[in-house]
Amino acid sequence: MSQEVVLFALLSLITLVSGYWVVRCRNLVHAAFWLMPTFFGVALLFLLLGNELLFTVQLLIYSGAIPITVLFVLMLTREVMRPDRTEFNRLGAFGAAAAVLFLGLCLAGARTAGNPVPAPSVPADLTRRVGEAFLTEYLLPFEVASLMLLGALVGAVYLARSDKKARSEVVGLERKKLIDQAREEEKGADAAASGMAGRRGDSV
Amino acid sequence: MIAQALENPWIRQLANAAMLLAVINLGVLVLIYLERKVAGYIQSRLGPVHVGPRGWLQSVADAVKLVLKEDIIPAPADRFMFVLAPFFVFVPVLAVFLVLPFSSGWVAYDFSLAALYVIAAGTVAIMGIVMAGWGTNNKYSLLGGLRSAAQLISYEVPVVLAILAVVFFAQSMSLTEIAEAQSGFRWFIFQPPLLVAAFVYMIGQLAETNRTPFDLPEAESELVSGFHTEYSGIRFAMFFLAEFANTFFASALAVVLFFGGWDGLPGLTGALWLVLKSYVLVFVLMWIRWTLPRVRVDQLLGFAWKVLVPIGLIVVLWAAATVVYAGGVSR
Repeated sequence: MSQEVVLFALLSLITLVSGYWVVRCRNLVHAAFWLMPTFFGVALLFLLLGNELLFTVQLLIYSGAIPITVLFVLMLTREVMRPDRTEFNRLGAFGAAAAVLFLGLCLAGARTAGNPVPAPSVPADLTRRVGEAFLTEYLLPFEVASLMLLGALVGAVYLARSDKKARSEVVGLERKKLIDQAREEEKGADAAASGMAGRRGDSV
Repeated sequence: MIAQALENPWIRQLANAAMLLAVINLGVLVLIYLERKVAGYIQSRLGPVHVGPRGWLQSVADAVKLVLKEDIIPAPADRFMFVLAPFFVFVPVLAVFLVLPFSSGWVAYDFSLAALYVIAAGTVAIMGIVMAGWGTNNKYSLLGGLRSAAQLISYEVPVVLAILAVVFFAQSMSLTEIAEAQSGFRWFIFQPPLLVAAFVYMIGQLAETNRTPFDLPEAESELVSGFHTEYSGIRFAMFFLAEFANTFFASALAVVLFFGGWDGLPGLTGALWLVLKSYVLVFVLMWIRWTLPRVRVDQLLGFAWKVLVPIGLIVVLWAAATVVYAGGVSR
């Protein structure tokens, strides 16, 4: 067996096993963690195929950014983080149907493409070509995608902001109450201590 | 027989990686000694003096101590995350060294997209820090981990913009080619837009390496060293190693991007010039660390988004304009 085959088997194993655990994990924080090796395995498969651009982008976006985003979402919605929480979606049948369809698609693809599939050749100036395509032929989709992301970002900022404002008002009220309470108590204590020598002097 | 084995590209790359690991570990020992001595001189004290002549064996003694110490895992911790987190912080730091060219041809893996890869690998380490903070199950650690994530994500943006400006000038994302484009003292730092980019990059890296004035994730006095509060022994050593290796890498990358890489006066090997220049930058980072006080969280994030990112965007436009209209590229 050549080294490529061994590496391919190893990477597929990593991807599949960690993918299984993403689905299987009760603890959602662990599931978010398992996303990382899953995507990393896919990234390394791209590298094995000689496509350095896809490898780097996969590593940057999927292996690095997506699990962290998932973690942030989990930590903002703490209820789903509890490990004793039972599964509450009823999409098992749809999931099974999707899995069967995907398997069929893979099998059909494998039959038409022949075995083994020759690795597609990667042009040496791939990055430059992709960059130029983004800014000429596919400029509109590219800009629309960036606009959508900007919208998501602004929306997130808006949500976080209003939440924070409301909370700070609540905190402010609580604080005022506490301060008033403390003042009252102090007054009472002062009145009680007025007969004795200065409290401060005693404690020093 | 060894020469024969090295003919095999897989074995050669493994050997490269192993060599890098050894160099990084030794380098970190030197850096720790340097840090303590520099801190000592800045604060008018001696630093380590007892172990070995002038105390230079202190780092070795500490390393041995950390390896021998008991590995404590707190009872309420999430064992799985707690145990794995140090690896996720340590491995990305090693992984970026793979593409760092020490000299012409002295690179473990000459990656055509190295500048992008360096950024990509850095994002993985954020996950490790969040895992450590969450897995410890301790409120200080969680605060440290989340602060760290916010800080690293914020400061990544200006660093990426600064690197992008360099890529415009070099017309390549390969670190080897970026360094070669500066040979003969045509260093990028002498280009006005990239001088600004270098400042943005260094400030960003100061934050990315968690060093004062941006050491909020650790902040001994408020968070009891943040995400690694409960770590001890070899696991703590891994966080420590990652931090120092990262400091050195940030400086070495700055040298490759802005200070001509291995370009220097004849007489010394290129790799030595690179290491020498990197150590000068490391010294500057230490100098800053022991001079400035820590900033607040709101100042930290506000500075990244309201000052550094706009400057970075302007630098990118400026660099692009220079390259296109003033013919800044000479290849």
